[in-house]
Amino acid sequence: MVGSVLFLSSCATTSFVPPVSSILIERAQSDHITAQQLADGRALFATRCLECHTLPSVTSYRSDQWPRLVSRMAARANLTATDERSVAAYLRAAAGP
Amino acid sequence: MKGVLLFLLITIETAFAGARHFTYLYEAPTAAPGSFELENYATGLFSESRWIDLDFRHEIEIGLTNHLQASVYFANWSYDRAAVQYDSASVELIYNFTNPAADLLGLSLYQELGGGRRAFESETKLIAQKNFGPLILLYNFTIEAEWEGEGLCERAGELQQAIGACYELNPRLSLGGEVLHEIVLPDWRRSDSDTNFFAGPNVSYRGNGWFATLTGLKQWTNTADEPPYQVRLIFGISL
Repeated sequence: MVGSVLFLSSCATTSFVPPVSSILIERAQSDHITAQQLADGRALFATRCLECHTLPSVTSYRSDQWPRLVSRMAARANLTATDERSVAAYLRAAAGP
Repeated sequence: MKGVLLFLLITIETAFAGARHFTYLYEAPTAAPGSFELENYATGLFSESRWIDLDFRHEIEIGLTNHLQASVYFANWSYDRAAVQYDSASVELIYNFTNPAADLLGLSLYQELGGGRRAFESETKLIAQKNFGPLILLYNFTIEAEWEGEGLCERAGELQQAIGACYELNPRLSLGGEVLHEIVLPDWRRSDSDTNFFAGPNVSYRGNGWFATLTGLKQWTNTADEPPYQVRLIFGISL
């Protein structure tokens, strides 16, 4: 029972807030985004966005749609300009090409 | 389908930060640093035929850091048909250890201290939460201690376990349920204890800069000292 819950928890984490992997880092290189910025973006996405609503899957939107969505909600989530860039970069990389 | 999802996400651009999906349970995420919110609680206790008592709380919630929030309950008061009574004021801290979406399990610790006329109260809570996309599963374990009367000589305790689940139909609306199991220990004696069980549905709506969450609970035990029904509304406004 506990094992099943942990397995499901692990799957949910990977699907909705994927970890910063080498693939994500590689995808973000063209935008001149560092691994640290991706990690910051992931942490902010998981905490600030969750205060208002549950998290959509990162693949729910195309990578070019995420920056506009993040920008629209940045003020509500108390994101600074740097935070906003990190969250958008993480979601762009996680959404894939 | 993606177009509809995109529209829904865009329309919550001014959605409320720190919105609550539950009224009797606390969630693991804490408020964003620098955010201020006013949350008003109204709880109605009902018998089979009429209301017995109305309890109110007014809370200012402040996000201190990414993991710490503080709250001041500046007025806890009640009305019981006969009179309005000011009960107490209290302060609360919640520290978040892990995230319910990014980690295996979201964990937070809650501590509230309250005081009123000849009364002092401490409430400690462990909050565990897991999000599976739009589904939120929540567990609270609470230890409550009260000291009342002349010289605060009368003591009482309560242990409570609560579970909740809700599903976010869209970023504005969620539906779910809450279950409370409490053991009331007058003078901390097991021999005088009451065990109560409450369960019922909830609904939450998040608007532009505000939210409202409503829960109705029925008592599934036969404890005479506890109301058969209770309804709680939390109305929050971003400041």
